[in-house]
Amino acid sequence: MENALYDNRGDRHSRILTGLVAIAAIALVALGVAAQAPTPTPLPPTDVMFGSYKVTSSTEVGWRWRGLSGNENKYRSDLNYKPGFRTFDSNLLLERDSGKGKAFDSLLLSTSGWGSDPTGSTRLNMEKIGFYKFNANIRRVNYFNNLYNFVNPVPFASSEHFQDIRHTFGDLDLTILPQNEVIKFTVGLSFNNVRGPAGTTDRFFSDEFPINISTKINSTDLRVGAEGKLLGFDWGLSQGVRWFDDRSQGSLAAASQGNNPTNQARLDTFSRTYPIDGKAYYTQFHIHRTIAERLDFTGRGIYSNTSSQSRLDQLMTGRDNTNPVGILVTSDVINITSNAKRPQTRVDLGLTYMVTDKLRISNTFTFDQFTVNGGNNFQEVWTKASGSTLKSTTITSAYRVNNFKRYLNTIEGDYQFNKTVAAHIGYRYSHRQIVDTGFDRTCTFTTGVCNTATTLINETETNSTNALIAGMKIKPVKNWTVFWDIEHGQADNVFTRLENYRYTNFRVRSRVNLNEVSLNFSAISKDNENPSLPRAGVVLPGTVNYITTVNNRFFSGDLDWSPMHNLSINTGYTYHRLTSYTPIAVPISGAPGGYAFGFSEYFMRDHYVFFDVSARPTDRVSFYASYRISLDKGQGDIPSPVISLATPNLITSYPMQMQSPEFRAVFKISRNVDWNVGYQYYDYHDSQTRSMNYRSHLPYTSLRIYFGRDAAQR
Amino acid sequence: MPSTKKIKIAFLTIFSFLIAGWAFSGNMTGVRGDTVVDAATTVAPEAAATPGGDYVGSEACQACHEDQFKNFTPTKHAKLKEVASWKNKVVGCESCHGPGKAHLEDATDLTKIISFKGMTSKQTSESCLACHSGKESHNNFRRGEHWRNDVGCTDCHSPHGSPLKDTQAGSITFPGETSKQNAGIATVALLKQSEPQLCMSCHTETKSQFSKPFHHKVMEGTMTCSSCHNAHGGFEAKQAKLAVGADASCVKCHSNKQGPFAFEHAPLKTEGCAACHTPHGSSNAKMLTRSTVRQMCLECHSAITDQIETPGVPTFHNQTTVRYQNCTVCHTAIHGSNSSNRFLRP
Repeated sequence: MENALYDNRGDRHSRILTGLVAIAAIALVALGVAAQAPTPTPLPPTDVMFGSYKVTSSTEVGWRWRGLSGNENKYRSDLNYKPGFRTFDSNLLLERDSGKGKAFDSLLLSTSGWGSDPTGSTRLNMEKIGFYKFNANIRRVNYFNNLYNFVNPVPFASSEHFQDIRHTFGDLDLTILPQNEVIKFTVGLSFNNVRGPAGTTDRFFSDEFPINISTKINSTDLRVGAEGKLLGFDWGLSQGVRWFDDRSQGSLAAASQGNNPTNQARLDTFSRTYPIDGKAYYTQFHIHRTIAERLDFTGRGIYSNTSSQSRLDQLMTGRDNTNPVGILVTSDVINITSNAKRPQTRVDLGLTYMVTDKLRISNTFTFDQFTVNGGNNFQEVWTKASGSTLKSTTITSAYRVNNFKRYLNTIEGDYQFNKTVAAHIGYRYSHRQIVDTGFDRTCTFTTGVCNTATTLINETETNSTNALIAGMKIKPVKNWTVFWDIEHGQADNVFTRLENYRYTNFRVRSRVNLNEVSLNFSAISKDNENPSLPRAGVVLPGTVNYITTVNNRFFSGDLDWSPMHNLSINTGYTYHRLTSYTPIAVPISGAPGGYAFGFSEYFMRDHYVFFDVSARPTDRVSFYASYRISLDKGQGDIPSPVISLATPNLITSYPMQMQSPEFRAVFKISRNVDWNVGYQYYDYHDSQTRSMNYRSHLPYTSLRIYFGRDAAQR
Repeated sequence: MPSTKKIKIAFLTIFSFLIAGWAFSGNMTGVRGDTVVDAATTVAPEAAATPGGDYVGSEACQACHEDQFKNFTPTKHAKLKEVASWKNKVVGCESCHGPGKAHLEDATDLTKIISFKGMTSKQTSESCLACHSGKESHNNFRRGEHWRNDVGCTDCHSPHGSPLKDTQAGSITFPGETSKQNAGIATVALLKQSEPQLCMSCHTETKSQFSKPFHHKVMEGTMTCSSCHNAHGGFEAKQAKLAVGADASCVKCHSNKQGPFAFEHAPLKTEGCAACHTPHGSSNAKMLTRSTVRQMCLECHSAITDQIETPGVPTFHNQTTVRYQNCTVCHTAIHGSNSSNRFLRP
């Protein structure tokens, strides 16, 4: 039924077309009505005072309904808008009009999304000039992810790695004496809390079992610092500490046969605790001075030391994978203790010499070094009962040190030819060294016999890169600006083959700003080629090379037009074209040496269009209509063959279409109150996995209450 | 890691710079406020200059520049005159535009006042930086991406305070822009527009990314561009911010990914989260750069190349068998693990 619904492409396209035509019609009608409507006589601003503070405020509270057809899990993973009460885009500004405020000079409280929205935020910015400035930002995200085409060996009804969590996080920052040039003090506090159910998988006798996780993750940051001026230098010093912990626990809802249907293993009970505790201390020092308006110098040093300790205790019972029904495992106990440390030092220096009023030469230097060292002790004891009792103990210990060191230097010059033309050119050099050392040691006890094997790890990779950068800004006429820049060279690439290596990035942006019209265009090209290092002894077939190529193209433009004070139109289009090609070795049974050599290709052909219209045809009624569509055609007609010895290739994309028309009507029902009626529609269409499709209807009504200055003028 | 001795040497070097700067300052008395204004060439910031003489005060500007004065008066720039530590310094209009006496006497001669209309972005920015460059976030503006591309302070900020538009009907999902009746951070930060609209007016392509099925909630107002990026420069690529000392800005919120882990998935710290994720948005779950997990893994863990710490996928992971096609079913702790060197447990 559902697929049949979505198979009707022609019908769907005609509805899209109808929607576009409807929006265009609304825009034209609104344009006509607005053109005929008499220009409202502007009312003088009426100040509403709260004590000595001038008030500007608007609050919107409303109710949203939801009609949903199709895949609710996908809908919630993408959008997660729920029916019910919500607050939206509300704010309160108190500004001191004249004289001195007692507690503050300005206070801005803005909030949005609390209630049935998946994300909510509240921000508070308050300041008493000369005394303090306080910024708070509290946010909440209800994160849901449950996609059965993701992280599952076979198409289950839902994901084994689902998440339905609430993430609450915030920052509170106080600056004392913010305008004092000699010294000012800063105090800050941040927090993160993640709670909620989630899923993971765990291995047990060569099978994987879905495990429920009760997520409980916390972190708290506290930071203090001072900034000021000493001997002509701007300086700042701050010290921070973050405490973080993870108290999540794993359990099994019911006995499970596991993912592998041919495996006899069965998990009857499972419990896992893995408390992780960590601390990060960090110190930052910065300094700055501009000397004689010619030489600008800044330096920054950061030292941080992060450490963590954990202990994993896991108990499982069930049956092993012995044919025909598995031997009873009365207990499988895993205990792992670990600790890790990461000290990091970073130094940044920036220098600019203004040779003339038109020419500047700058140098930026960065040194970054960190070491991650950590290890663990692993012990597993399992006991089986099958006529006779079997017992086995495995003890391993491991230790790793990752040492990272990087120097990066950029020297560049910028020249101002005249008021309309400026250019820059630069050269960047980087040198990076990564050294990995460590060992894996296994000591196996089987009925009292111990075997010890040690594997030593010692790898070093050093690379140096060079890159050239250049660009210009040109103003052909007063209201038109064109920027372009290019960067060509190499970037660090040690671990990943897809990151920039031999790259050429080019972008050009054009901005036209007239009184009522703003027209912007961008074109961005990113080409990356990564030859990688051939593995010794591997001979590739003639058709396959080592070189990874990633090509990105963006074309984007938007138009913001306000033909009259009561009508504005904003529309835009973006095209993103991505093609990535990577030679890969695919493990396939029966291939010589175990690998078949092929390639991996990924495609994106994404079109994004938006069209927004705001109109106020009469003094009491205003409208907003919008249409947004994201259409990714992915790999198009290129087939994705099933991996086999003959075709060891991965050709993928995520072709999909997501469109969302939206409409709002605003009726001014009194000097201070607007009544809003709105409707939003989401239509998600997944070209490859049609069971992912959904449609949602989100009607909405709300009251927006204005209070304070200019309320009547809206 | 550097020894304690090296750190001491580093701090000693910084201290030496301080002393050297202090010594230089005796000769190079270019500390702001003491320089003679030359409106024709460069912008001389006047914030620390002593009032009196040719300075006439902002009120004298009001008669002719009424609109600017009206917008400017509620701003923090205007209120500096009430701060005790700024009492004996030039504040208000003349702190940027220079002494107004000559201009007051002959308003027709525009060379007698500093006007920013004919100035370049960099010249204008120099004027702002005279006061605003002491903060860590602003210190490297002269060497940041925006500066390099000649985007100046007044391309985003309106130092006089913005004349706001009336509130318009807008989306029922995405918060609207700051307007006369709808206050926002743009009002107090003297921005021309609210985020993200301000940033997207140039970076137009990002709007499509934030409209993908999986994206950071920027359009929804929960995050802003400046949650991760420092528009004022900084030392990072893409003007990204740092968090918790020198970590990537991602771990500010995703604290359970910051490690250190006994067994690190090396790219996490050395290459950054963007090695696998597209932070603005993606059609792929978890904002991954690929639509299938095994494709992500096989492209790096390929037995034909010799990347450091990147072993090829073992031969028994037969890709024609369904259970080996989703790597993270077994390698669950892919960001790093304290218990398993193959990331099988957290």
